[in-house]
Amino acid sequence: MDRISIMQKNIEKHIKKRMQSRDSSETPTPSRGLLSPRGMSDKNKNDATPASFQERTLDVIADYILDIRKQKEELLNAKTNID
Amino acid sequence: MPRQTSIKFDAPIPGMSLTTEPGNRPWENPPQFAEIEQVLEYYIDRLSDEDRQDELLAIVEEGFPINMLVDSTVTTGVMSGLHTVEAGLLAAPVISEFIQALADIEGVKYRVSPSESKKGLSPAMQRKAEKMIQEELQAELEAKSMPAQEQVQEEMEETEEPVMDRPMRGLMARPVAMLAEVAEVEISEEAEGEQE
Repeated sequence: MDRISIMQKNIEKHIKKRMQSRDSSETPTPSRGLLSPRGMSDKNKNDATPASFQERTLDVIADYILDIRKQKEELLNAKTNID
Repeated sequence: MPRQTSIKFDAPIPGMSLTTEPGNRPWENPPQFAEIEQVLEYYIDRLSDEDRQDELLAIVEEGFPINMLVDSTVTTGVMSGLHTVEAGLLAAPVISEFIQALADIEGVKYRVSPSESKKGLSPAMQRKAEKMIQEELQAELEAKSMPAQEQVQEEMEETEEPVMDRPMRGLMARPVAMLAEVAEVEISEEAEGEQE
């Protein structure tokens, strides 16, 4: 397997993971109680730790790939409608 | 460590990188694009050119694997000092996806990696499909010709003469002269019987 195929596999895994996390975040269960974590929204989003940097880069690539796929679908649908 | 089976003559000679002043080569300097977004925008802009797309699709249609094409494109980018090796590797899946989408839209068959066969039906599947189509066509033709055959058979039965009247053919058949003799004898016997 060439290095680009390996990279593609990793990106696909990341896209799947992102989809799953998005699905689970659609139905959030608000945590209540004395021990629930507070002030999560105040967390610094620009925290550039190596892990978050890696996540951000992979997110950018995944966004581009999903955008290309979406555009392709739209164009193919338009083509079939014309035919 | 795997044993090297062949000598690579196209590999750099040891110490080759020291033959010029450090920093003279484009890849020894800071890259032109530091961010991954910049690298991706650069490649997508280049690939969006229609003339380039036609050339690209012609190469892909010939059966050249897309990933090999992307690899050489990215390596050229590194050699000309546009981006780092890592940025190129990160951008490669997006470029590959872009070319695949382009081929899909234009209806061009392609190979993603060298080990993969052209997208679409494999030769074995193609043969199987052809056989299935042939069988179906034959069955359809037979079904269509069945009523016509029946009609022809009915007509044949109507026009058929009695079997006895037909001249017998073949090695074991009686000769015609013998048949005539037998008929004459039978007629004369009948006539004698009537006279009596």
